Amino acid sequence: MAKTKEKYEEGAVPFVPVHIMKEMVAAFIFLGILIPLAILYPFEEPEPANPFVTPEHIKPEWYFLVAYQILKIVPSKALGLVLQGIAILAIILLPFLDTNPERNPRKRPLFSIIAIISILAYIILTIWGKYS
Amino acid sequence: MELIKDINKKVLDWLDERYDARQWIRENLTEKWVHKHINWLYCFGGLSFLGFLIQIGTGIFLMMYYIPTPKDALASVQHIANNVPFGWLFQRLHSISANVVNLLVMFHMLRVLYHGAYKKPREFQWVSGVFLLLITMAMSFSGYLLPWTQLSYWGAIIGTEMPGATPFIGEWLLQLIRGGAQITGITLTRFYAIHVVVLPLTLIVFLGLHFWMIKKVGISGPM
Repeated sequence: MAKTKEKYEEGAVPFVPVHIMKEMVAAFIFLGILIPLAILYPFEEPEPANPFVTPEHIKPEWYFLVAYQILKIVPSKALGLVLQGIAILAIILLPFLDTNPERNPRKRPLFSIIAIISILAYIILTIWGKYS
Repeated sequence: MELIKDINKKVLDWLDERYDARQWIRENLTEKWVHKHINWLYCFGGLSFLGFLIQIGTGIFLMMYYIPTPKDALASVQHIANNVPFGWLFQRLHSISANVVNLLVMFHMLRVLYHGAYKKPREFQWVSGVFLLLITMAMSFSGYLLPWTQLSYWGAIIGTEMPGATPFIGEWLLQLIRGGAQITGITLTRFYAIHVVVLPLTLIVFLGLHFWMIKKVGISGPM
């Protein structure tokens, strides 16, 4: 069932063509960035896998640096894993933990502070993991 | 011009008679209303989806040349990058856009967080979205091993040690993921099957749910 225009008090725009046009422009900008990147970072001849030689500095891809760094700084591996499990569970359950109907971030300071601290922690752990 | 209009009308009439095409177009496209305030920040979800489509397209191409054995994996990737026409482009796009998709999904998540768009009645849009991020990361991890380079081999060792440290079931989990105690050809085919079949299918199911809920509930309104 499509939403009727009357459902929105402040006016509405049709998905096609108004919003889809934005998406298309964004898509072309995305492709316009991606293809030059593919040319600027060419395929480098990699070192073949050697199970007998452990490389000295092995770092995961950037999106796993957080997990990597947490496991490094928490003394017990099991504890580090449990902490990450709790963090992921909290993110999954966020809509059930934060049930305040207010959506403006300025009018829900507690949430905003926790969110900003979490995002900063994520960025700091990533950079730390990169250079540690 | 007249001729095109005429053909257009005939095609639509034909489809209308059978599938109510015009009504479908109205309900889902031209008279599908969204809030006036939605801006560029709302494009990250669509871009993540585009990234996923690029991954599928380039991935199918790579599958046609890739050989999932420790002996041939790297050679086949090198063959794609060096000899296959436009192989370098598909290989680079697949590997770079994997990184970019992770970033786009996170941006999309931050947008939803900022707008409080995960709140009632959109709780499960958020839950399915977090699963989509986790699947995206699992895709990245499983794909990383496939070229069988020194980096990917040792990356997989360290990465699989993580679930291996889980209390009680760690040892069993490690064996299950690696298909044995070590990372071998069995691990490679295992990761390959997960990367090209299991995870994409799971992702499509979650994407379907995600999109269906967005259509049902609508995009969140102004704050």
